[in-house]
Amino acid sequence: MLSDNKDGILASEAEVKRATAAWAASLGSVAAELKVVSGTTENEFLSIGGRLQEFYQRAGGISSVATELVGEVAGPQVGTAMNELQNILDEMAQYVNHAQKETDLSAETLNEVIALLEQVSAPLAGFKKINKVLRMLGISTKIESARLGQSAAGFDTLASDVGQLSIQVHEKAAIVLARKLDLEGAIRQTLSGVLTAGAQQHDLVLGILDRTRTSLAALTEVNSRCGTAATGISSSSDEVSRNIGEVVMSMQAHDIVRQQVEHVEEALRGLQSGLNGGAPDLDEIASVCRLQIAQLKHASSEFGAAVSTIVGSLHEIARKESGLTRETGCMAGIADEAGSGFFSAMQKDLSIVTSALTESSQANRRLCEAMGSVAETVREIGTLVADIETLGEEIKLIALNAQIKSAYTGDEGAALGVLAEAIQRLSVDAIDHTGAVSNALGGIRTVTERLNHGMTEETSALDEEVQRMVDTLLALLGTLRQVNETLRDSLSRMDTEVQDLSEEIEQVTAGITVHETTTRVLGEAIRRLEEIVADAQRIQPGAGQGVNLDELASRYTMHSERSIHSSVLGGGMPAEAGPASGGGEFDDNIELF
Amino acid sequence: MAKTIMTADDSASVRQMVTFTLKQGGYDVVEAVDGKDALQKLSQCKVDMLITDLNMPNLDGIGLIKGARALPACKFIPIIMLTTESQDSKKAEGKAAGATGWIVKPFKPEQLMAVVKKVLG
Repeated sequence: MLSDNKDGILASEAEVKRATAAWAASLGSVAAELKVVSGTTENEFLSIGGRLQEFYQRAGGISSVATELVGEVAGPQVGTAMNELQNILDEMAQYVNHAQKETDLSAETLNEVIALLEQVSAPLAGFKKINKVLRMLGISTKIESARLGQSAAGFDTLASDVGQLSIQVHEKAAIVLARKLDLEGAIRQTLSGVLTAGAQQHDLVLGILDRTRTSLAALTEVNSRCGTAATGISSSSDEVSRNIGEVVMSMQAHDIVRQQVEHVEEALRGLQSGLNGGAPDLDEIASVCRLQIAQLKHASSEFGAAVSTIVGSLHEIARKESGLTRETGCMAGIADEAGSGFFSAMQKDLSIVTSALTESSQANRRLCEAMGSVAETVREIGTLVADIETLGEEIKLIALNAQIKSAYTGDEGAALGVLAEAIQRLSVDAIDHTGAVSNALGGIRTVTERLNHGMTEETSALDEEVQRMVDTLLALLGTLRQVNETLRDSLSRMDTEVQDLSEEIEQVTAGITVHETTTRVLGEAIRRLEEIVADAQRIQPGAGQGVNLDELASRYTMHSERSIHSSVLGGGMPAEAGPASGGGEFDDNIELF
Repeated sequence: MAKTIMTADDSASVRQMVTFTLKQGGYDVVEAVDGKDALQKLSQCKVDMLITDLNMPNLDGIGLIKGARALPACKFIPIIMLTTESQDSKKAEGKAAGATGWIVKPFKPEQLMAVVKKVLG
């Protein structure tokens, strides 16, 4: 067919012949290249598909480890440990309050003892005076006895007795005084120790209590986050499944595009065959080429999008798994900025708590021992005072004897009578003083025994309580350490898995070049077909519009091909719906009969 | 015991994706490269379901369905067409041949699994 070109010049038959020969060659070449590309690109898809199964299983494995990890942190083991920790904190609060009360009580008691000891000072000073007077009376008695001579026989012995008593009272009183001073010193020292230890223990335990409560709050927070993390992991797994689904869908693009390219190839072969066989219909040539250009553009676009989705989805899987590891690590509290783990900090705090409780128990025992020592000293003083009391009674008897002897001596012994009365008064004083000392000692004994008794019972009970708390804390430490180790192992496994998976996904995606080859071949085919269309339209302006190509349409196996056909060539195609509705239960591309 | 499903498709990549999806769902899978290969394998082993492409060399999906329905072991098994074709006339042809349902490619894994679960009960 000859026609006007755009310049209104008639194309010669020779020109058309040359052109059709060139087109036939070009179409044959394009068809051959399309055949090659549609037949050789599947291997690369199969290679990707082969790895997909492995990637999916490994991603599932990573999610399982994450789930296991979250389960470990949020699980019954840690939950029980948290409850026990809460109980221990409550007990510690009670313990601290109790210890503080004990300290206050001990200090009060010891101050009371010191005050009672002060009461002993005056009677002890009285003994010194008694001793002095006794010595003087002894000397006076000796002098008076010597003056009276035979008539005062027996007074010598009396004087000697008084002198000995004087020495004994002096010695006993000195020992009592020394013991009293020792005791006072010991009590003041103990008091200072009790108050210091109490204050230190109180502050230390309170500090630890606060830290431990903060740790517990953090653990509670971690525990709470685990619930969210579990949802996150589940959601992440769903997203990975969606990504896998996207890959599975995109992998089918090869088959779809292959069919489309094969149909183009068939159309081009048919056209080539027509060109070789006889007079060319330029309108038909241009129409077929325009249609195949549209089909190839669609195929190229679909293929590129599919490969892009495959690469993107695989990268997304690696990215999600990496994110999952990071989130799980943070959630578990292991990957904190300081590099020291949450559970490590807990372990340190709990170790300090254990030390503090042990120290507290030891302090109580020391106090108990100190109070035992006080009681022992008081008992010793009591014995000495009893001795002095006995001496007072002896003085009393000596005074009575002196009075009797002085009465026998008559007027000459009047002076001795005066001495005897003085000795008798002294015995009364001695008894008064020993009574005062005994009363004070009795008071001290009462309070020390009360404290010592309470302390002995308390120390024993506290020892058991402290031991129980220490045992519980050690068990908690063991549990938390075990959890910590499990978490570290799991995270380490996850990290390695994710790193390997990411690297392998990277390798696989980096090796995907099928889209480049396909796009290049299809692009070249499009370019050459466009040249043919342009050439045909140059020879016959307006060529390629509205030719009926129903025969081509009969080869189509896809809705998209028919749609393209319809849009390129107008209403030549019978109206045809896309995938029918599945009736609600399924998507539109599914129909059950 | 896992149920066995046959996938018949001349596209190796489609067979690979169908197999991948079904195995994730816990099914055993037998692959056939076309209708003829499928019929031969159906006569040798028992399957619980058949998923077939429409356009295949040697023997197409419609021919396969007809052949399968003639086999006593396959008379009542679910047969799903999995194809790029979506024309109603083709669907009617498939239904008449004995297809249980029709899925237009590309399929999402969850779609295929939903259909499999539905037809296998």
